[in-house]
Amino acid sequence: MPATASGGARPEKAMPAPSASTSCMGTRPEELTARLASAGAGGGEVERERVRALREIKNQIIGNRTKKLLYLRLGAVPAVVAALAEPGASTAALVQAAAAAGSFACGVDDGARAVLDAGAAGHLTRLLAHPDEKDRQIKTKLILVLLELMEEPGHVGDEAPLALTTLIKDSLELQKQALTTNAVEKLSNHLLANSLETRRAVTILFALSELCSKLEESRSQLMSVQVSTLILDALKHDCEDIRVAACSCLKNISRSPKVAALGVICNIAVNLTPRKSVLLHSGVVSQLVHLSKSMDPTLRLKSVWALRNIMFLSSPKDKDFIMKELTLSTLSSLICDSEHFVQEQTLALVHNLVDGYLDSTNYVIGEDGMVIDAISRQLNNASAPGVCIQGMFVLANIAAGNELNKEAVINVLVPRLKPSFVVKFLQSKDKQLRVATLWCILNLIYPKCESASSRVVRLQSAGVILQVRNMINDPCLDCKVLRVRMVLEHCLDNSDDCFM
Amino acid sequence: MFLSRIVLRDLDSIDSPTSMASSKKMVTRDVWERKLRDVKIRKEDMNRLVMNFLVTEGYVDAADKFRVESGTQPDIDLATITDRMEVKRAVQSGNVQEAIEKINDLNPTILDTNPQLYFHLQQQKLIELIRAGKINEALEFAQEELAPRGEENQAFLEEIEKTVALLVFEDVKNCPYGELLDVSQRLKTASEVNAAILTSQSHEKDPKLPSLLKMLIWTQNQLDEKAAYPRINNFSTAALEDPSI
Repeated sequence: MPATASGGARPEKAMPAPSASTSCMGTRPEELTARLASAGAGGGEVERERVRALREIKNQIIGNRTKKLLYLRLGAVPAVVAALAEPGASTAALVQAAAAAGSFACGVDDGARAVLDAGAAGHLTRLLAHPDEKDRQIKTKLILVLLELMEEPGHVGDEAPLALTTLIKDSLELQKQALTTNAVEKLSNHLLANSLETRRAVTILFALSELCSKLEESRSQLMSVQVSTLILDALKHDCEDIRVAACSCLKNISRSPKVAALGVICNIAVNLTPRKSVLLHSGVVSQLVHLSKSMDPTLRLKSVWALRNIMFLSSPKDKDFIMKELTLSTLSSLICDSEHFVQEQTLALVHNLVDGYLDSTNYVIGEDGMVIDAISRQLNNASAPGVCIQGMFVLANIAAGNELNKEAVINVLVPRLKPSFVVKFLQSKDKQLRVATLWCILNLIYPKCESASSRVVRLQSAGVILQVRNMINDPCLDCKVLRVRMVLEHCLDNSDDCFM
Repeated sequence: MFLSRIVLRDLDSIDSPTSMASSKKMVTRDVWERKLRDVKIRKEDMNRLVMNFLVTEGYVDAADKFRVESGTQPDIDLATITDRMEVKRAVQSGNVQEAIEKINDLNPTILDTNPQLYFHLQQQKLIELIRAGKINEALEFAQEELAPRGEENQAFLEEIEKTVALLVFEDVKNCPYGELLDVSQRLKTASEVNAAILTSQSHEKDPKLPSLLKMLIWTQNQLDEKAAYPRINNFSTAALEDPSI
């Protein structure tokens, strides 16, 4: 023993733990545990004592794994957790008990289990429903604790996000609290940093889904490029649980009426080709269709735009699915929407619809030609150039089909009882419109056959052929090329010098 | 510092490949001061640097007065600074238990998620017990609190050994590891606490001014290889000292 130590024998019995603020009640774990177990909430001094005991335990265990295990063995956890449910407990007691319970669960698997076994989840949930301003501190701390727990390995970390989901379920208030703790960011970061192949990824996805169910701000946080890519990966994962969780996320995001979220879905759909089927069956389409009927023109625009992107390169089965949701009558109304930018996007959607598969043209000319009539109406109404261009692309695609299709199109271009708009389009300053119209005409007169010849005659009588002839010096290269093709089509065995 | 960067650029374009590194360009004070005058710095930027320093280091009253005088907005809520400063002050005065309790009131997750900080606080507590001559208590504490830290985390063993070694010597202040008893050790721990609290509040833990000073020193060192110029050697006065040849 060093000379500076007090000499002589020291008593063998345990001495109080050294502490600068030793309270008169003693600070030994056994004593504190016993005290807490016997105390219920009371008034005045009794309650203050209870608070002191809880606080002392809390301060002993925070950061101290050894002490946590000691208190665990002493059976202190049930008493601490019970303090959360003590009727008439003071706010101070609740705060200390919550912090202590949280600390027991932090970094110690047995501690977390003991806390949950003692019924903490139920008590915490009830506390979180408490409207008291002071209790908001507890709520936020609890959310923080759960977020910390998520980092723990093993069962605890796996289930923590689920506990969070339960806590905040259906509560706007709590989701706001969660916002202040950067919960979305923390959960997303964990998801990004680790494999999707885990139970934890599933529970985190569900937690994210719940977090974003009511708050726009949470949703925009979720839709960062990295996270949205991750959710898309999750949508195609082998494991069904992960796919389900990811869909839940997506469903809550698409619940948003806000334009920004729509814009993001729109962009997702652009990149989506191999995974589209999964997206389609997540409920996004019906949401988009619903939004396409909104009073707000911007919402209509964005939702139609998203549908357009989803339609692009879709399989016939998927197109069928989308059209069943959308319906032809909705499509026709959208073509005749009050806003020209909605009209244009809708026609672009139709363009994608008829692109590639012959049967798809039935959507446009079937059903008594509801859709093609709407298109015709717009083309005849001196609509905005963008609308006319998209309309002509649609007709050009349809005219590439069978005889029935071609006849339907020629009836639009050269109606029996109305003047034709075709010459006007061919004279447009907009080169895209000229090109689209030329394409359409070319498809109507190719391949050569009897019906094609009769269509040429109709076009001729409308002055279209003359106009094409006059376009010999058209500045646009595409126009020149299309015109040359038409010449080749008809010059060979046609004694008519109408093209020369 | 901005000026020395400019001079470095000038030198690069003037020096021909044949002149070797041994020839240093000479910059007179006149020329240097003229170039300095030409460098424009915005007052707002200066103010923000000062405010950032005051707020990160925790000088609440100074920050508030500065806010009123200069119109610069603090980048943290000044109210949160008071709590943090109380913790820092407790550590600096050697009242470690008080500091621990205050941190736990502020945010119970900090010490649970910063094992190194928790260890340093407990180490500081032991140091204070030794300083106060309470050897019995110190021994108990070392056994009950510090030894478990070593069991939980082997990285702490070396520090524990150093601290416990203090108990062996009669003249503690002059023994090996006696520097643990310096005030500087308290300040080190206090600074660690301050940083942890700032981080938990999602704020940067270091003020920007020290980084700028480091840049200045580095830049001068770089320039030293190429030129003789009026140098700042004393950073508290920032006086330019004429180049020696």
